[in-house]
Amino acid sequence: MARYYFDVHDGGTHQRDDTGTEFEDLEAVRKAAMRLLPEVARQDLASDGDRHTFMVLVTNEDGRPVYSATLSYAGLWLLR
Amino acid sequence: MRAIEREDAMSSNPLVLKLQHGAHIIEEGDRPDDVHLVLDGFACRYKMMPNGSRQIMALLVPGDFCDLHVAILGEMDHGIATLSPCTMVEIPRATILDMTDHHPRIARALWWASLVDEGVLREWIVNLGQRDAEHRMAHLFCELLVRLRAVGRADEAGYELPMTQAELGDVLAISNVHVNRTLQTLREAGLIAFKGQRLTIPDVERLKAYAEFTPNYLHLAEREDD
Repeated sequence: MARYYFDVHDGGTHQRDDTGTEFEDLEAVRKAAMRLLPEVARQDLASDGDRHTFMVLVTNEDGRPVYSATLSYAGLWLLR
Repeated sequence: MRAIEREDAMSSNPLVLKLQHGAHIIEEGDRPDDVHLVLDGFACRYKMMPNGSRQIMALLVPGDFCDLHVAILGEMDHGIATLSPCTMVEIPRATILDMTDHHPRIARALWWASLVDEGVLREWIVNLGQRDAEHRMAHLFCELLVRLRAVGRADEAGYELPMTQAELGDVLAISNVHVNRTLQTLREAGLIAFKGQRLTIPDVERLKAYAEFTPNYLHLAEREDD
């Protein structure tokens, strides 16, 4: 088991993960990022605006980046 | 629980179990002969999914029956496991049936317990379906404060919460990492604080307002016209 930190960037805001979470292997880390981004989007998307990019940067205990992922929302009015 | 029930339960020599964290008391499909009552620690009702993920549908704290269904229904439709070291008492199914046959007040108390379980379940459905992770978690912390205070396991501003983040995720239907983020958000907002396993709520009314928590579904008071 090793500890990984999931920092989340949502447009202007940046939430640092100070405590981290333990995972068996890197595949579990990737799965966790995949599950996390939709959760973050679901929570924060409703705020406002038509463009949102949610990004997660996973670092290991040495502070080295190991994985990053991005989820985008782009809304466009076609008739208003 | 009322005195008479305690006497009856004592007279039939119930077995006291000391269980470790993570013990499986009953699994889905079992047909147990005994009903379990939590004396100390935390347990849960859960279902395992084919992909290995788990949903916890109820938390069981001291004073809660784990499986009153066993007395009447046949096979278990879910499992029961401990979330901390736990002390439980095993009451034979026959004792429960005998008590309910001969003591209407006990029958009514057990019925009440089942109805409250349903009330909690309804609130949890609302919680999972309608609240975001932060409010969902805040709501759970408020509920546990009220339930644990009712059995003397919490003081005015907090309690021991022995669950892991993964277990909290299984309750709240969010990922382990999101549990971690959500805890950090609530902590940064000054709504909760953790010291080891102890959860402290600096301003209970503020957390209740944030979570839109109303304890009515716990039915802690009896009907006044009875």
